[in-house]
Amino acid sequence: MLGYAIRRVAQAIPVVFLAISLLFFLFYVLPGDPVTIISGGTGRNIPEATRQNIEEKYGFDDPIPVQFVNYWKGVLTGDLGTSYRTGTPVWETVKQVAPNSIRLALWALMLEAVIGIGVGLVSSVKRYSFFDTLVTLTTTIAMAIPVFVTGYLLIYFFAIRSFQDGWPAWMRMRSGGTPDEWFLFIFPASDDGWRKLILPAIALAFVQIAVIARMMRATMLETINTDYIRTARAKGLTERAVVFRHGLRNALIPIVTLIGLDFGTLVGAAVLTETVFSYNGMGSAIVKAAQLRDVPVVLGLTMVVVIVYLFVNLLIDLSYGMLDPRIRYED
Amino acid sequence: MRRTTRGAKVAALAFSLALLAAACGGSDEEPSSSSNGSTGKKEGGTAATGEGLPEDTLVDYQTLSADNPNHIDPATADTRQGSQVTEVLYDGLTQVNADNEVVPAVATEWSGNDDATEWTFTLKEDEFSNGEPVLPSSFKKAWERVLNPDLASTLSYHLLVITGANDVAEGNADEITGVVADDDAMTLTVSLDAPLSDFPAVVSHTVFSPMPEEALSATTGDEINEWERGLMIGNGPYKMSEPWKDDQYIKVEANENYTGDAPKIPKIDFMISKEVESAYAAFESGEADTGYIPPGAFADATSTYNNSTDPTFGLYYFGISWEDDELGGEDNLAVRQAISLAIDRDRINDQVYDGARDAATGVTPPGIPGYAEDLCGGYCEYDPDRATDLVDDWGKAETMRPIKLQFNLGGGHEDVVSIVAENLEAVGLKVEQDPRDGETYFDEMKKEGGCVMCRAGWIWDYPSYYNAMYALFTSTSIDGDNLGRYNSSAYDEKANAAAAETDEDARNELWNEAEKQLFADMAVIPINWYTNQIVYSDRVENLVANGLQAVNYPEMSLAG
Repeated sequence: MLGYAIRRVAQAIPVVFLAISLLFFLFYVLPGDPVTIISGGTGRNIPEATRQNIEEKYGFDDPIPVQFVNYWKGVLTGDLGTSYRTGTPVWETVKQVAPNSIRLALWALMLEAVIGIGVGLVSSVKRYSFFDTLVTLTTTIAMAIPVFVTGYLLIYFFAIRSFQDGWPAWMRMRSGGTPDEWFLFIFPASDDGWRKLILPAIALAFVQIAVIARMMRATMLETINTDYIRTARAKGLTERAVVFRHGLRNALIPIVTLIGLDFGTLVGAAVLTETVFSYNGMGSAIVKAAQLRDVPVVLGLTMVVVIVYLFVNLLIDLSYGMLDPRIRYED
Repeated sequence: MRRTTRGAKVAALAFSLALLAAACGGSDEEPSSSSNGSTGKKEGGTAATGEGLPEDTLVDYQTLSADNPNHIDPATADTRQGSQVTEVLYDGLTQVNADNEVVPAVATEWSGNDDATEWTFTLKEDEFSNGEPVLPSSFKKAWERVLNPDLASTLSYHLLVITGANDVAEGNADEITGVVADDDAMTLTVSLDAPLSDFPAVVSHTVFSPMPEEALSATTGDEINEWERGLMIGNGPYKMSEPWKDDQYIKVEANENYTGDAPKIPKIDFMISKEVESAYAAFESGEADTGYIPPGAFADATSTYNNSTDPTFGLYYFGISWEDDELGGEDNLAVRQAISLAIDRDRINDQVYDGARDAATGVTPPGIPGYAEDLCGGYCEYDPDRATDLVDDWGKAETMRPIKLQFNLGGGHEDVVSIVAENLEAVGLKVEQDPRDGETYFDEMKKEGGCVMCRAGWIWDYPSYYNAMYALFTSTSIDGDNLGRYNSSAYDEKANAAAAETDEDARNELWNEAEKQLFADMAVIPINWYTNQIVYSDRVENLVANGLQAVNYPEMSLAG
């Protein structure tokens, strides 16, 4: 398995390289003039001398292949460039927004996994019960609600109404913002921080919880009806052992795949959630940078998203071995 | 700055006029208070008590409620939001107070010569927050910095009336010959190319702020970006306590070295929201001391919370491209008239603003001396039939490109634009909505080919007719705030004649003529006149937003 892991990491490198290079060239096809943006975005007739200065400083007058090579040389030495809009090094921006997005995504993921799997599991075991019907109904509705609607509803009830109607303090959430301090990377270090984190995490996880619950139910039902489960029951194992030890692990494989695929979106594309909750994350930073043709920022942040995504999917793939011993990794 | 909001300090017109001659009192028409009249604090308190917020800090969600500001440096801060922050950090020669009067700031007195072409300001002893003295030369060098061609500031047109400024702007000189800074006598003498009796009002604008030595070396766009994101040093009542955190906040604290009246609130946190609805949600959840009322929430907000919602000197309008082959110029006058007649301003007012704003019948709002009704000449009324006829006269409806209705996201303009789009389609025009990022919107609209039919707002810098007439429509403001790139020598002549006239009544008549010329060419589509849209918590005392939408932060206090 270790050999498999190492091979996968080695494969990741060309993937990152290709993805970012593609983006790099894409930006040269799109309209938009970096010199204008750098000189304050004024759009006034920038004097020739100034234009030349900027082009020299940033290397815009070099042919594209040269700029390409220079960019990657910079990356390998840790220099991701500077933002055209603000002049701040991209690395600074990455340090600020990337951890926030990862934390939010991890929390959304935990909610998805725990609630989704839990609900789906119970639903499948108690098929056609009242609980099951309720779950089917609510998941259908939940999947149809866009994240910003969920977001605004959560804000309305848990931030505004809870304040104005005097709900107990532990139910009062903040309407937006990003926690400042963290403990052990993923835990907000202050009371206020928790209040800022909970609502966006729920909003972000909301639709996926419904999807996972339904999927879990479906795969569990499929698994429960297989031959080996019948054998286990026939052997005299308790229902609990049958479900948890034998059924669940197999049913989890597609779920885990789903979670892995979703994680990339959670990290890099949570724009709507970030806007509604004014959460300082990568999604809105990438969108803004893309709109403004702030190429270094887009490339830098996308690189982070790609790397995180590849890493998470590697973990997911490795977990298959644990879930299903039949899956071996050929050396 | 104008666009979204602007708060320039306005020098008391009365003051400058008294110094000249005609103190003919001027017919100051009271701005007709439209619907609510519920401005002010509510008796018995509101749901927004301000409890739980830090004792010594004002948590502000109204200033930077629609997006990250593009700039806060005086040389480049051209929006109301960014310059509100600039105003608490810098004091200029003069300023406009809560009563819309031009009063002294760093200049204790000023006088002009007989034909208002030369102005002399006497400065008091003042210093920047780092102890560096504020001298007449601090002003002169700061102004030269604004004009530096490497910077290409969109605000430089404000200075072009000064003799020698054009040479600096074109890179032919480093010094503005028309400005004489006498650091020993502490006087600043400014010579103008053309008479301008409102000049003391003009210099209240933040672009005329003094700058410390440290800032003078930042003369290009990216250098200013860097300086803005450090700790900018200024001479105002507040100073930056930490660098600007993009998309999060700008935090300021009282400046101990301030030579004026010390501010009563020790700290202000200007929180940055991505859109006005989020800012308002923060206010409603008790996280904020001030908030901005989003469209559609006006009636609710003014009846529930303390608010400041009086009519202001502000115009909400659509700029329209003078250079566009299908919309601009004399050939396409009919379609522009059609557009103006097609728009149902009352419906916009009712639906989006709960009846709070007044439909505009011209550019200049009531309350500005010289205001006259319906300078639009009947074209600002709702008449879709006439509009349809005009579209037929125009004759290009079949082959036209869809008109791009541009607007900035985050400012709550979606509803207005939807109504306008509907109105225009109803008279046979093809339309396309074009939302843009809020932070760079005005930068983009100022470019050639930028504004097609672009939503904009102008808040007067000072209560003077000259302000909008000059900044929005003269040919010298193209690439600046003249978004439509209107270029008419007839208009320029009339505007210059009005600016030069020293007799107030005669001047106002000339301005009316100039505005009529504007509408004869249908160079702009006015929609309504702004009101202030601020809500605030119970613990905030003495919040006054003046006619220029500038909030008097240094004079406010927190109860309890």
